[in-house]
Amino acid sequence: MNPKTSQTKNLATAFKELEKIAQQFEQGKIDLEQGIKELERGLELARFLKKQLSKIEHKVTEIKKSYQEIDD
Amino acid sequence: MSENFNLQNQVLSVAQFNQLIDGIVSPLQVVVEGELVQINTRSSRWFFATLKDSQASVSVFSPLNRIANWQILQEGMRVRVDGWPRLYQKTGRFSLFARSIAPAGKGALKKALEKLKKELEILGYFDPDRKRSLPTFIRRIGLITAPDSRAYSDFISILNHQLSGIKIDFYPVLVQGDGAVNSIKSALNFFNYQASQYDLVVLTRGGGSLEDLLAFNNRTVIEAVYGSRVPVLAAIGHEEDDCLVDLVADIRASTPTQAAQIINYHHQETLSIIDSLTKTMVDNYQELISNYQETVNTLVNGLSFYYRQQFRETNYLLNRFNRAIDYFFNKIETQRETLLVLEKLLLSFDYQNILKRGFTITLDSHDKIIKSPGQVSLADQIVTRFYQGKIISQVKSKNES
Repeated sequence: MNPKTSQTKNLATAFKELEKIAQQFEQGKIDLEQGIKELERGLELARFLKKQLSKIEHKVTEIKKSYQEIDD
Repeated sequence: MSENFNLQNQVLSVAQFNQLIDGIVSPLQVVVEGELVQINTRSSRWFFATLKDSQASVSVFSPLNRIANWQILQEGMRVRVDGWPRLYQKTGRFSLFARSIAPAGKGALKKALEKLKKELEILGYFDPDRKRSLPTFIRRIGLITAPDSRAYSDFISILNHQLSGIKIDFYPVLVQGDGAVNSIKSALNFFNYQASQYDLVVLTRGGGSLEDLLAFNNRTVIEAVYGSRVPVLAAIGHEEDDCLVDLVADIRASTPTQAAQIINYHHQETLSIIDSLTKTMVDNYQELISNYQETVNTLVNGLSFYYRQQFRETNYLLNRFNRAIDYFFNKIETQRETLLVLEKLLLSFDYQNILKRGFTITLDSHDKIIKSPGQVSLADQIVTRFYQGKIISQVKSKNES
């Protein structure tokens, strides 16, 4: 699997999991003991996601002409 | 002109004649403007029509796949045909081979686009339901625009206002003129070939006239955008009307700058969603904790009250017990003293009677009663007590038996 696909999948999966955990908290479905574990997991996910969007410079790569089709 | 081409000395066959004429005319490159009528595309491989004006007409033909925009060509439309004359050698039929056919003049172009727009609308190309929204995480985008253009630099520089580590794969294209359509189509194909790698394709160019923007109203390009498996953000500079590509794209912006701003804003939004989810979790958990804390406090307070009471009562009992013990010990002590006194008294009464009868008590020098001769040694001093008085003597001899 190429890195990009797994990265997107990881981000999307992580985000969904974070949403689910937050929703459970909101609905009051969590008890005290389980809650600390879920909170830890949730914070870890949030940290991971924010790191992915952290202030790193954009990187521009030009597609070389050899990959382009040749015009008629 | 005919003076120079006197071939009457030679007798040509028909084939030779046709070949000769075709050979003479076909190298000519021409652009002919007229009205396009009798458009025939039924064969699906060939485009046939007649080009006419008030004075003359000529047949026009071309392979259909060369006339990329044939669908915008309307009956009666004023066009410019770029191509060369051909004499079909088999029949001697003369026609204009078209390399391209473009609407001539703004009015013609507009009419053609209206026609196409209506058609696409009916087919649902502009349906809001089919438009995808920006993916939550934009990590890698494909950028399609002209190299060294204002559009390119505007887009990149505005995107840099919000650093988030996006990878941008830039595919330079022609954005107008011959080759633009194929160039843009290739770019879209390129990114679609690896669709799983890209979160977004940005298709953009600067402003221009309707003629400049022709490629972005072209059916081929429109189809490529419509069929793109990667969401497309189109920002084709325009004056008054939208390009058809703008209408078909998933997301649209009015300028390359705005396209970058949309991405930046989306990035901000994603970050604040994450923050708000975090806050939800933390706030809710804190509430959970403080609820438990309250419960525990209440319980502890109740417990403590109970134990405090117990402690007080026990303490009280202990004190009473201690006092009782003290009292008893005191009593015992008092009684013991009394007993001792009584004992002494008793003892004293006891031997007074015996002494009255003439008995004596003999004490040694330590005032201890001598009960046997063994208690003293010769020459010891002894005291003999009578009922009244005493005699102090010294042991002269003793007899133990």
